[in-house]
Amino acid sequence: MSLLNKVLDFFFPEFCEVCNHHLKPQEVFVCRRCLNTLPFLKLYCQRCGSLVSESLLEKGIDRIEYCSYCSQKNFYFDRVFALFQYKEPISEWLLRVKFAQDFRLAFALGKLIRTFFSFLLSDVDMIIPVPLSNERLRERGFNQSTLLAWGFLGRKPFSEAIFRVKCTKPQTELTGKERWENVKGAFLAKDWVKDKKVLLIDDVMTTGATVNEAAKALKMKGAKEVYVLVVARNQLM
Amino acid sequence: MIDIDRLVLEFQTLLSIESPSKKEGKLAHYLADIFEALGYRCFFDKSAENTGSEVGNLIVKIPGMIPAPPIFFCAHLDTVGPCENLKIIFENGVFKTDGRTILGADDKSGIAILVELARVLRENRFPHPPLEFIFTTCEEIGLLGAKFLDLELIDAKEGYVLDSENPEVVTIGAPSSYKFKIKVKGKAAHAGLEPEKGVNAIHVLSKLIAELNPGRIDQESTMNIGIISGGKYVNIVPESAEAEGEIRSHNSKTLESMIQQIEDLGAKVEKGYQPKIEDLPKVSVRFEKLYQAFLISPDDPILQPIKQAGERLGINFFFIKKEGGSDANIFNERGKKAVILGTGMQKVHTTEEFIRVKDLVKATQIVVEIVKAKGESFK
Repeated sequence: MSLLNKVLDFFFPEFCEVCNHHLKPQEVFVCRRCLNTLPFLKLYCQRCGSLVSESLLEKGIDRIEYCSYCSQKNFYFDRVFALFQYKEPISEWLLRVKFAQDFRLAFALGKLIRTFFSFLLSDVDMIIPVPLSNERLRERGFNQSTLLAWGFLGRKPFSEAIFRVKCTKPQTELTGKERWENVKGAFLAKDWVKDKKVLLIDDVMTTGATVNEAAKALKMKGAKEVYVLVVARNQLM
Repeated sequence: MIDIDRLVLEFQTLLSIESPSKKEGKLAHYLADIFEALGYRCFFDKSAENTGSEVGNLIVKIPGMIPAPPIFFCAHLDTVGPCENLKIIFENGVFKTDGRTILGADDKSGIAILVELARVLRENRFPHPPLEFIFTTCEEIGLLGAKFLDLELIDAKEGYVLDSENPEVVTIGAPSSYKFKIKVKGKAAHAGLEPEKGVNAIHVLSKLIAELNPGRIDQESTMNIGIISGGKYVNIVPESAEAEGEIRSHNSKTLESMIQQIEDLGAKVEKGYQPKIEDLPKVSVRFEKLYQAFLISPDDPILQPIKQAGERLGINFFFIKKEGGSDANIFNERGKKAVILGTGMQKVHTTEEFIRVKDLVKATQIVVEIVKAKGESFK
């Protein structure tokens, strides 16, 4: 721990989000004990993010390249990285980010996913948060995905590569099928994503409709590969 | 269509025929009898000359009902040890042993599935392409049967290897693997009288190993040092020392750079070691390829019948990369596209090995559906 960090820690101590203990310098956002209690996503399809019964884990399978669901569906994105299941306390945190404007939390969550997916930083050419429409942006005042990406990257993400050209209904109000219809043609990408490996960042992925549409827009403009990174993976009931 | 009792009985019979690597003769001839009795053409290739086994690979040809391109199925005949005096325990729908030996479900479950498939095809008339069953020898001791398989005898261009655990999981990729041997030649001398005249090979080797970084290299690559040996007496400066290890990776570029790294390190240690006596120490690194990586893409036609079978049986298949080698590596390397299907066996290569009849039946259903789907998709 450098002197500067010591001073910073003295004046601005950080506390664990769950148990409120003072954080050690190498710990991010939650202490190590609480980190183990979070609902990590242990096994999911790397291609489409489908959740998989954890009984496979006991049989020594810890990575699934693709499944019969996604190999027939032909998603536009190539890989999905997800850290948590959409459960307490993650779901509560993400709602707080979105509706209680907790910027610090969003940034910290971004930092937390960075500790697990730091290899992506050197692997991709571009990191882009999933955009909001201008109307929604005005209404809410910020884009939670941008904040997450900011925390993940450690600097302001580059968000001018893809735009939401259609103001769509919030996906949470819709059923599975309607979600796919709702976001159709909602995104438009810029030409400079051509031949780039792009990482899309979003807060939650449920059916994958939104990121798929965004990935489609990127692929239309010639993006080489599109990865998706989400904080949590949800499932429609 | 599938006769479960018959499948279980056949599986039990197969388990009771001992077949350690190189001694697969009894099992192979038993199988040849079964398939010939069913009216199919059986023959052995000449791989036994190279593998050192009692028999060559057994090949069974099942004529098709339609002129579709043939497909092959493969299972290996040999099992790992210990397998003497096997005592099979069958209770609550689970096959296991008394804990002294392995069960041998690896890969006799695969063989049982193929025998049942042959019987199903004999009893039921539905369109199916010509099938070729390949029963390889000496899989467990380095994939030898598949390496020396006479490809002239196989018409199929693609097929399925029955040799993994979970029936709902299909293996579509495996890493390349190389074995390496580092040899250090030093100079012997009396350790107490004239240590100055010796070059300590163990010391040189340990310097080299200390700079290697075994373990996980990146997401797709690993390295291991597994064996080390050298020296004769405590009072002699050791003349030679050896270490053996392996590297594996799904990425051929990473693998090449790992090989280069180890070679460079050998040269560096050899050059930098002081004092040198008569040009010693000499470090040599030798690599031997064990098997070649493969990866089947999600939209490859070889997976189509699997997906169809999954739809019909209500199974969502998961496609994974495996960390070990199997006959499928050799087939893919030799130009025959292959993926690996699960048979239901679990905890293989241990004395706790077991298999649930439920899983064995499911795996058989999947295989039968694959053959059906293959027949129906032919136009």
